Amino acid sequence: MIILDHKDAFTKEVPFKKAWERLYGFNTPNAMIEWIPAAQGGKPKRVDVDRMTVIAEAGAFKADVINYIAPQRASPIAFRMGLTNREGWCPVNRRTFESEIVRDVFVIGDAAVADAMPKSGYSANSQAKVAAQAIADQLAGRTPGEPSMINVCYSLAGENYGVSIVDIFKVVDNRIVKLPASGVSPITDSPAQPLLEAIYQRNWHRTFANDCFA
Amino acid sequence: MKNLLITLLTTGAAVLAVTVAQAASEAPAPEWEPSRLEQALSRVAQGKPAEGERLHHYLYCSACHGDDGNSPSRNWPSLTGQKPDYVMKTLLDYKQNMRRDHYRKAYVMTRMTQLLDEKQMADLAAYYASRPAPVVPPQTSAKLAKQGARLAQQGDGKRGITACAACHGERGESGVTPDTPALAGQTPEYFVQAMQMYKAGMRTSDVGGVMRMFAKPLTDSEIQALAHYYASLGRQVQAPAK
Ligand SMILES: Cc1cc2nc3c(=O)[nH]c(=O)nc-3n(C[C@H](O)[C@H](O)[C@H](O)COP(=O)(O)OP(=O)(O)OC[C@H]3O[C@@H](n4cnc5c(N)ncnc54)[C@H](O)[C@@H]3O)c2cc1C
Ligand code: HEC
Ligand code: HEC
Repeated sequence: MIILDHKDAFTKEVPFKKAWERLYGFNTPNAMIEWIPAAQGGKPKRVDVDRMTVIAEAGAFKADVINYIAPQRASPIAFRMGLTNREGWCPVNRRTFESEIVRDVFVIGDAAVADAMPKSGYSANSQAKVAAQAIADQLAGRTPGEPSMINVCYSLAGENYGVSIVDIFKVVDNRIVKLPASGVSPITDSPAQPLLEAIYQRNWHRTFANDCFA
Repeated sequence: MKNLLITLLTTGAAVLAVTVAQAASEAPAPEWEPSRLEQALSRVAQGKPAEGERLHHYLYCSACHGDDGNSPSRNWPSLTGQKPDYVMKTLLDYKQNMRRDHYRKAYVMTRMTQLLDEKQMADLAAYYASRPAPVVPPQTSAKLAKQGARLAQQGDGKRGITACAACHGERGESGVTPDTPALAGQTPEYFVQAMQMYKAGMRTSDVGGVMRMFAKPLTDSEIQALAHYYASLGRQVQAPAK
């Protein structure tokens, strides 16, 4: 598996690379996984669908399966409603998630501009709670409080191997900023550590799905 | 040429995760026969407390069960003050998937014990046995404790319930056989869970089904009362010296 990346870094990079080393021979001649960052020509230029080939700066890569992730932006409906800025995202009041462009419309999740918060399901869930509280406050004539938001992201690098990141956010000078309490999986030599993270991932997924949809 | 190629082009902050379907839970091992159990516990006497202490931290047991095995949280059982045979046995039980439950509480232990060999189990068991019995857990109810005392000490002949004290010790301090657990100071939430899982027949680790038999006729409120009774028998912490 080859990852062609138009960036030179990615989230949870240190524990991910360690997991790839341990599980998939990353950085060895027998590697099952390779990561080509922008600095090494990883930036894709074109996809030749007929030849199942990606043309990147580093050259042409033919494959059986290509999973191309296109540049992201808010969905067309957000554009049609006039909620987007020049970059294609929706600017919001960081304390309430009310659109800065259209009053009484609230935008949460991937479409919203949330500064340091990553675009993740957990962020969207955290923002939904802030927005719901703000709407209730506005209806009741109260001033919305100071939000505190969280992002937790677990990934399984293998069946029994989890890695995670936790961030806590606050609004400072109208921008969402990350607090120092945040952190990513440490690298240890204990086999229990990635195993426990894999267990936590499954428990997290179950309880998070309940929180969203139950 | 590589067989598989995945390109990843993100706008900076996209988060990737692979969700692997939950592995189907393995079937539990056949229940213990006394002779097979004796054989399985034959290494327990060789356990080294110092090595157990190292493993307790190295394998993150301390993250849930507390710095020395006396659980600081109502989520987890305390392990200190147990005879090593019981702890070793229960680690083998988990490894063989004999302790299952409706809330997937045991799942973490079923997975964690896959990392342990018998020598390590014996070391951990020796360490917990070397630590003093757990202190009375916070929020133990004196009122409920009083209600549980009679059943624990006298049982209930009409319903065929032997006094718990007959096997678990006069004050829950230790079992009459090496593989009967101490109950004094145990986290009440865990105690209730253990009893409910015997009652439901999900926990099949009890040799000969003794606990499944005793748990069956008990009502939920009796189990609650027994849990607080045994919790209240934990070690009293002395007020710090002035
Ligand atoms: C491969 C991958 C892995 C990920 N892993 C994780 C992870 O492990 N943890 C995590 O927290 N996040 C993860 N994420 C990110 C997470 O999925 C997103 O951040 C999250 O789903 C965003 O939620 P949202 O509600 O803002 O947007 P979406 O989930 O995109 O929802 C928008 C919805 O609006 C609908 N829609 C669009 N236009 C209209 C219209 N005109 N009328 C009606 N409906 C419309 C769309 O169909 C869509 O269902 C992952 C993302 C990807 C792609
Ligand atoms: C993530 C939390 C967690 C970690 C880490 C953990 N445990 Fe547990 N442990 C539990 C829970 C929860 C139970 C009770 C499960 C049940 O209901 O059966 C338990 C039960 C036990 C029991 C049975 C107690 C009894 O009275 O029968 C033993 C022994 C035990 N753990 C030992 C360990 C050891 C040794 C380790 C490290 C290798 C460990 N645990 C790591 C959560 C944890
Ligand atoms: C005949 C002896 C006997 C009697 C009587 C008995 N027990 Fe037990 N009990 C055991 C044994 C043996 C075990 C260990 C079983 C196992 O390994 O699962 C046990 C386990 C338990 C456990 C699980 C402890 C843990 O750490 O997981 C609880 C709780 C318990 N008993 C409560 C009771 C109560 C309450 C009574 C009285 C109503 C009682 N027992 C009566 C023998 C007995």
